[in-house]
Amino acid sequence: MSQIEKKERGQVLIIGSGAGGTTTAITLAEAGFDVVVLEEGARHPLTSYGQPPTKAMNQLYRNRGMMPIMGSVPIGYVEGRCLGGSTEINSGFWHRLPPEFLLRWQARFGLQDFSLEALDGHFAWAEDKLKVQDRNGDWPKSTQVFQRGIEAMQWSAQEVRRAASGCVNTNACAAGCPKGAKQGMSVAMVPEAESLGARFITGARAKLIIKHGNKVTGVLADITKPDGSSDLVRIDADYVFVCAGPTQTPALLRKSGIKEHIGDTFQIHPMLKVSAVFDEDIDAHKSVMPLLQVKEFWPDISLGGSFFSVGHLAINLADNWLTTSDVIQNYRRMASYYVGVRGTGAGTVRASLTGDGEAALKYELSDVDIRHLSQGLARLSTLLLAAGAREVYPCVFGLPKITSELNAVRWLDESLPRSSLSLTTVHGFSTCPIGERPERCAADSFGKVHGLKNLYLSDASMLPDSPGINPQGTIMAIARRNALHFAETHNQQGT
Amino acid sequence: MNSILKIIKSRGAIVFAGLAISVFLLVMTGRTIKWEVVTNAFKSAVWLPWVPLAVFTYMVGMLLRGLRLQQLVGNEANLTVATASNIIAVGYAVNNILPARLGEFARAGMLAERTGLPYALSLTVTFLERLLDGLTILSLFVIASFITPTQDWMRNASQIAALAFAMVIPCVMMLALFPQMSLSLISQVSHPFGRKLHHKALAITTQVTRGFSCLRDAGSAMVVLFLSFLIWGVEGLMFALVMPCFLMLFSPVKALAVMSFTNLGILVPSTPGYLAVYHRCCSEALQAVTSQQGAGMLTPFLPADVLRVIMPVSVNMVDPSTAISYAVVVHLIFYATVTIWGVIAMARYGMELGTTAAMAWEAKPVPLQELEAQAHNFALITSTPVVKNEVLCFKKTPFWRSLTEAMVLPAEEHQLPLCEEERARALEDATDFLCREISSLPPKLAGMLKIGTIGFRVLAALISFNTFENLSLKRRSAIVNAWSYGKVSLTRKLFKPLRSLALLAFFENEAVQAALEKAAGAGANPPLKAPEEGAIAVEKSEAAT
Repeated sequence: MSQIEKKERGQVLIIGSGAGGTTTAITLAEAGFDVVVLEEGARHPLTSYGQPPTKAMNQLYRNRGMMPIMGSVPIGYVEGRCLGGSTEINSGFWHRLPPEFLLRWQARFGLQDFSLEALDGHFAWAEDKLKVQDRNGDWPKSTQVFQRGIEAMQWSAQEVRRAASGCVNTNACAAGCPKGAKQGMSVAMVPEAESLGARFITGARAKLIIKHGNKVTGVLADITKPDGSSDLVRIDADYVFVCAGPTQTPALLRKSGIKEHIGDTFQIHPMLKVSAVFDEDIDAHKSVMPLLQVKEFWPDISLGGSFFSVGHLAINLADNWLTTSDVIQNYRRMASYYVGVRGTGAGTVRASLTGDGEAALKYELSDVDIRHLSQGLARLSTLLLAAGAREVYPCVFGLPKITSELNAVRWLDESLPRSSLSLTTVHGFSTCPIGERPERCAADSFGKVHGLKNLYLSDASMLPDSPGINPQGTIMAIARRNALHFAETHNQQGT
Repeated sequence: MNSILKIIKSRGAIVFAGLAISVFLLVMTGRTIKWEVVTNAFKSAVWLPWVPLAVFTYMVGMLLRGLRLQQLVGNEANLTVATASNIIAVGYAVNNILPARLGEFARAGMLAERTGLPYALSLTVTFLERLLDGLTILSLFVIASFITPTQDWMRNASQIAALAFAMVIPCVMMLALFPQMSLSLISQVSHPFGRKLHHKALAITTQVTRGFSCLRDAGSAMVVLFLSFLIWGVEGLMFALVMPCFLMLFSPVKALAVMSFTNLGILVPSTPGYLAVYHRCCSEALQAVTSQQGAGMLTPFLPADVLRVIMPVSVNMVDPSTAISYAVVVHLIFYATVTIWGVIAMARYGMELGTTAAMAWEAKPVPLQELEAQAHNFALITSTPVVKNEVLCFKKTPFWRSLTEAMVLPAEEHQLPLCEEERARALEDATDFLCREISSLPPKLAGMLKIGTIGFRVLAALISFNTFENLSLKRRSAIVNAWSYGKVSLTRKLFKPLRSLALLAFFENEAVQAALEKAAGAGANPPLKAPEEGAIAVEKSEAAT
């Protein structure tokens, strides 16, 4: 591997190239630090993106997409494992952290220098880098029918801004955008970081952080070479930033013996999907997912559009396949939507004792989560029926379809049985919360891990609590803020 | 020649200790033997057909050893049984010529050379073989001791061996099952001793955990264990086949006890070909197991007829001279067979004995100092080869094919317009995807899923009197649906991910999507049915609890 052969000194070592890692890399490289980024996954050219879901899962997803969160209700969870991390496989939806959460986090976690004004510039920086904008042109049909329902219900909603300028509706967000329209980290930010001198080593899996007293002295990593063989290397660095994501960061820290408030507070946004059949052709499999989100019930409940392909429709119907298998033939007239709730349950991330210490995820839904999911299902079904849907098929065992408003509103007052739910999530966070409250925080307000002089965090794991929105914007803004603070503190500008 | 001298020089203490033990035992054995009786024993011995049969049996054992080695390195390298057997034969041949079990190093060297594996990893595999051998032999000795009476001193010796293995096994299990934890532990322990030692410890741990990786999969571990018992069972048979040569009754159980004890004795490094050590252990063990009649601890529990079959009563105590004659013949059979085999193998691979033995040293990794001199911030600790054969813990078998078919195909009235070939290919792809995906589950969940599917298969077989894959599609679907949509939450949880994955792959298949398009174009969309209410009543009761 050519990067290894150079054997150059890495003053700042960043583990992970997702939203947090790449933002940190650009900021510190700009500030004159010698930056090396380790990425476990591979570097993929745009030409290899946009594969069918079954191939993309193997190519871009951790564990081929098999990372279930265990609990009384197992929850499907996926994250990226490639250069750019999960930003390569998300939808590019962009939100700024709502002021309400900013204040809540300040109050609960004692975050310093965490005002709206302080973060504003960092959000603007990230939005500029990713060309975040409103959609140009017409909405896809799946969004149009959703809008019809929102109008009928007279609920407040917003069109989500996206980091996807020039989107041409390939419906390949989850398989890597082959057009380069969606601004995953690998599209522009990684090249920019490289132009500033940062080096990205792909196929490099951090195995262990080596400590001596209260200082990190190096990182052990397995680097896979092009021929498939691997080298176990030790990389010494003056500063180490762990940006491996909400599941891998706590797993790596814990197996390295760093455990205080690490992985104890895993939070997610549990999602319940539904598919609806309309009288008209929707052709959701040929367009980007619905772009509107209902905010009427936010932050507890959000309603929005979900990725659609024939295979994913089949998964949505799988809970009641005996009675719904015939529906799949209507796929051109169908679209998928979700009920997302701001999880209030309790979760943990641990490094497995057996094997290579893979992250073991657990999350127990609270009764409040179940109520919110039930109410969300009632509201989403009502909305879709009002929009003209003939039938709504929820991912709930024993509830094959909802065909009338009366059927739907029942779940406003009743709770769905836990054991019948099929839930998914793509948002995980809060496994290493930052803040100044030592009794609940793993790192200080700027991501420096408590008790260690030169170890920092900068990814979704540092978010103190569930933000109730797509977290990429918040991660990038806080990562930028923390990296700038680090650069100022260490007085390395221009070296 | 220089290579051999190099080995002897660097392992001098072990070599001389081995030679000293051998000389001592030779003297001790020689003093107790009446040589004229030995001569008579050989004169009156019956060689045919027992000796050729014993040689043949030993060769079968060697092939089984090759098969086991192939299994042990199956994830790492493509090795034929013949090559694997040759590697083992070369190792044994070197052991027969050089002292102190130096053949083990030669064998690891040759394995490294033939497969491209790092030497440390090859040595780990060799160590694992030895460990398996030791455990199997001990187990067989215990089993044999239950059936045939043994002397106290034999049991004491075995207890010492058992103690040694009992100390090693937890370490091996730790390294095999908890590689990350082992690495962390070794890192913490060795870190205070300086960078060089720390790196060396990490390198060895990495290679050793990789070498033991075959034990992580319960299936392959069972196969390896079974082969180990088979190998030593066959070795015991070889010992039994020599018994009639000296007019002893053919007794596999007593032979097994003799074989076990003899091989436990030679696990310790000693003379070339285990000379004297082998003979002493073998003859003493033979005398001991024939000194008492009966069937050991089983005597009170078995009918006399059965006892007579498994333990012929006419096996009387063998005198020392006949016992040593027996030991000489058994030793000669194994020594000559394996040495000739090993020499032919070496000749075939165009190597000299010294070169083969020296591989052990030549295959050592590049000294770390060279790398560290180039850059002190980025240090290579060790390299591991590519995993040549991806091992799926859920292999694509007829069971998974038939399960996928039962899970994905829509009801008959909604069958898609797919030709047989397209349908078969789509199912094949879906099965492949399903097996790969579930093999990617975290190990704990994969284990739980494995237990679940085994339970499913067993129950399906019990209620159908046939294996699941041999049932008709209709029957299979009925069983799968009963598990997937029944009242038991656990079985539903088992089948939900399986069906979801299979459906995803099946309906992402191009031919299936084309068939769906065709069906939609032909106006085949089924009419939407009337509303169904209250279907979730069953789950309401669960919610209440």
